[in-house]
Amino acid sequence: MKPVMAPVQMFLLLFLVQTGTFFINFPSLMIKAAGRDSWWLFFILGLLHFPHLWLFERFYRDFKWTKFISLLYGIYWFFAMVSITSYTVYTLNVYAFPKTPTVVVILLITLVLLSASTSKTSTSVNLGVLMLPLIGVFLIFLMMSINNLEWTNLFPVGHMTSKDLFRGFFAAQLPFGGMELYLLFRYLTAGKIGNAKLMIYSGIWLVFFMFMLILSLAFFSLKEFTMISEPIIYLLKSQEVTFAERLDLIFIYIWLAWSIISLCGIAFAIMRLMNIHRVKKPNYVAAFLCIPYIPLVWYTATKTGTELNGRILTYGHMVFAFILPLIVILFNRYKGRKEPAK
Amino acid sequence: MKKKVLLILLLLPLLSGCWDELYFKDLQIVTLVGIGGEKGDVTVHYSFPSVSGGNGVEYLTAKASGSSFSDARNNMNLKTGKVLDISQLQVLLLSDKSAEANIFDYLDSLYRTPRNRLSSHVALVKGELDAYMGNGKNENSGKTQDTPEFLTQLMDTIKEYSLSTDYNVQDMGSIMFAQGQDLALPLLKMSEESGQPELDGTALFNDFTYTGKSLDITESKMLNILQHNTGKFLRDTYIFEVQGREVPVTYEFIRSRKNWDIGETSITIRETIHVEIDEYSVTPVIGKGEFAELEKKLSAAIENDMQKTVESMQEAKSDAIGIGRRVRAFHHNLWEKGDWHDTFSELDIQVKVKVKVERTGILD
Repeated sequence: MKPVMAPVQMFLLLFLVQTGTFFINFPSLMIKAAGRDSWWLFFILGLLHFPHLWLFERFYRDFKWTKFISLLYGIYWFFAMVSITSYTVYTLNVYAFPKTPTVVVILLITLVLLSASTSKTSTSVNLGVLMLPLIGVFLIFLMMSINNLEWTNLFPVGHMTSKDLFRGFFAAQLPFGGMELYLLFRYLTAGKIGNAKLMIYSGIWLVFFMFMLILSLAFFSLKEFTMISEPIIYLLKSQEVTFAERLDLIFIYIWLAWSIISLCGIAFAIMRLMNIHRVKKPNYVAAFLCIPYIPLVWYTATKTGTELNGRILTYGHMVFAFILPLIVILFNRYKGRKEPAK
Repeated sequence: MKKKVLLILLLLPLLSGCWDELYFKDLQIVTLVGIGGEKGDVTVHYSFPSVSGGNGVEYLTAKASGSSFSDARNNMNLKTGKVLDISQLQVLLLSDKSAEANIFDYLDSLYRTPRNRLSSHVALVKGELDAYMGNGKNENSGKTQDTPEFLTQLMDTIKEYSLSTDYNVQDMGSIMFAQGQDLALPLLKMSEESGQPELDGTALFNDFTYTGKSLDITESKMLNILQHNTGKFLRDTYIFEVQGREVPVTYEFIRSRKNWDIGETSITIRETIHVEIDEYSVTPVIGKGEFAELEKKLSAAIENDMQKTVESMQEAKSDAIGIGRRVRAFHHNLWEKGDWHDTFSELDIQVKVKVKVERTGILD
């Protein structure tokens, strides 16, 4: 496989895929599951992000992208794209476009995705740069709520039952989603990636999600999380600024761009799998995949559909980021098979 | 060429206009809403500006009933030319009688609809809501009173001058659902003298319901200090005996520092308050040991008012300060004693105030 990106491009793409879309509802899911204990529980689990990536870096050459494995991951990523798009469409319908026909929103998103994924590799790789200033703006406006935070909301801790702990562990998996892409992206990345780079990336990822979680927990009271499913957007909605009536709407559009770039990252991975296995006319295959994609998104762009997709994605993450890599790597090491060094 | 044609075809649906656009000309923007009635039979009052020929902006009113807030709004649309739109709401009024039941029952729709504004002012009103909606005629001019605009300005003044609590729709929701703090809203009444609304005090809530008890204006200011949630200004006046005569002393709050000592059966609230002297006709303030004496008198007076404020809240079983938040977070044994409202009302809460005069204005 020919390297097509530098480590910094790879980490940016991975960051956008891991953070895009679900960061707005992750705090609610986590807090509903583990209550006030959610912040420390997620912090401890988040510390495992670095060793997980370190293991991927250490053994990625033992993870051979056979046709069967590629097909499995291709299906999983296709499903992840359906889930992310359906959640994006649902949220847009609720906040921004309640009267716009759902199919129009889906079509427009799909066309953007198709266009980006059939473009040159550099388009998908560099698209994330657009988000960098917008992420900064997003974080600054979230910080406007700092005077309304109630720090006692973070305490007391240690009142979780074992059931809450399990539910919290399950909910905490969502932000980890997409890290299996490292196994593929690493092949496409030139140069050496040391522990320091991995640690910096994991640190940024952890700080980002801890910020979202603590901000939400300190802003809303615990009972409100049973009603508010997107606390980050709701928090922005409650901020009063002089230049816009609805701050949430501006950030919904930023979040939409974030989600689309995140989807482009996953679509890029699927296109690369086709490239690895020399699939003929991959652009036509991508266009053909839109045929099941659109109705699947349409069908699941509902409250219950998105919730079900979220649960399946969490299980999927456990299989495709933990179990399957472990089995494949152990099997290949046992058999002595590995991808040739670049 | 093919790409250009494809692009043009893709852009065509956008030319037909956005499905979600709303024109101001099709809507009637409502700036003041009042909710009355009771659960299952809610009456919603609307007041909205209308440009009348030659007379400038006039406020029109309308009201409708229904089984809920949304139902009343739907019924309202049966009898208005334009659809009433509350997305630019400035003030939300709740009738004191209606607030004696769970107020969230009336408000769910306000929080659920994304277009609604969450930063609107909220107040409780005494008496009939009709009087507050601007449909009364001024006896002198015969014109409709601009009560909605007046109310918006009054609420801004209340916030700016710390005359009562300053909670918007979002804050109200958060506090109602919070464990360890109760809601307190500005309580308005109609002035018999001016025929306009005026602040009567601060209404105390117990969870989602109005207790029927309220704080007076001084107590409301004390509550703001105790909550550490003062507006831009907070001023109050006491009459002290100085050099054998009664002298009004006005202070302006600068800042304060709190220290709560929470025990198993008692709580001591220590407040160190820094003030500026705004009025003291026996100048100079500094001289003949009067400065220390003044600080002592102010400390005693404010301490007395704060103690009364706490007692009023205990009597109403309404922890508007939010002591319960701290207790819930760090004193779990006390929190677990039972329902916090009962525990709060039975606790021995002592207030200790130390006032430091930091500035004396441009006069000594």
